Amino acid sequence: MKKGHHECDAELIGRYFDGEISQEEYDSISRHLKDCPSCQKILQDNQAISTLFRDSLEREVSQASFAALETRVLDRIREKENPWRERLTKLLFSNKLLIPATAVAALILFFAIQRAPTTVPDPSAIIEAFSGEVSSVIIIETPKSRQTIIWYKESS
Amino acid sequence: MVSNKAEPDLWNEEKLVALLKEGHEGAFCVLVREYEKKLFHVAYGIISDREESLEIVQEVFLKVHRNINTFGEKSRLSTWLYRITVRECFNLLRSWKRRFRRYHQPLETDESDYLSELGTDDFAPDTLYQEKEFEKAFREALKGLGKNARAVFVLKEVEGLSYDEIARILKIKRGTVSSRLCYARKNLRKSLEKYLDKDQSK
Repeated sequence: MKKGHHECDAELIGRYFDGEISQEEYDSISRHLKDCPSCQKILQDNQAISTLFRDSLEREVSQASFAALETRVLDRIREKENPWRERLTKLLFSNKLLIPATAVAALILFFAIQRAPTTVPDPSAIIEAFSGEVSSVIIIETPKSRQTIIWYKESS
Repeated sequence: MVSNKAEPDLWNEEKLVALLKEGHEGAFCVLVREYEKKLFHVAYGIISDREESLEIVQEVFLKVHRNINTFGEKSRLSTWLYRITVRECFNLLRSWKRRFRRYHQPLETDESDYLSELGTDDFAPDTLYQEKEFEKAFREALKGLGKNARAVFVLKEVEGLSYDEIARILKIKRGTVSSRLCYARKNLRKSLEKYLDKDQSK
């Protein structure tokens, strides 16, 4: 590349390639290009880079799902257009409501279990029974506590 | 699938903007279909990731929908859309979340992408390998440019925008567009030398 010559300028060649120069500059560079292999190479390379880049982008575009993108965009916009529904949905599924609701439900469940009447099954058998003058004793075998001892006094 | 049919006769920018400001859904569909691929090109050119680029495009459309009333009709709609896209890409590139994800990316990603295409009709080992190799080299070379030069290069090459339009989108001077493009091309030529020589010797 000829140093110091204003036409041997990669930026100018780039502008020539992009069509961003005046007619006068265009004519001047066109003349220069005929005799300058290094500038011809720059021009060819710029063209090749442009083509290869566009081709590779087209391949990417062919693999991208634009139908899904359109659906997502429109869904989001429709959500925005129904702010009350959106707020309600957000509130119902937000942690602000979900965590206290879960805690309350857990407490209710806990107390309901605690207060539920425990059904005591009938004694399976009377093991022993004593009757005395002062008091009487009866030993009963029960499934849960194994044995229950009852002292009692029967008033006549 | 989207149920609303885009109406091509709506494609008159002034009319379209007016309808968008009224919240016309059909007009929005027209906008999405007109620009989704163009914005994807720009986003992918800057961030080199398909899924992230789709997310960016989605976010751009949502921002447009939200802020359409602030859009001044003195500038072109496309300028505004490209500006938001570039800004979103830059924000993503800066985000810690992305840096973290990139840093922990599984090593076999590229390989599995390559293998997934082996069963297709287009499969031709040499060509496919060369394309993949070139694309990888191109992505690396683009990354090496830095985001400012990359944005200028992508807007020029992909969308063929003029220097003035690029300057308006990025809010820089026309001369800066020219010098950043020169820098980008010079570096790409250097990084892709072996592929360019091969391509031209065909």
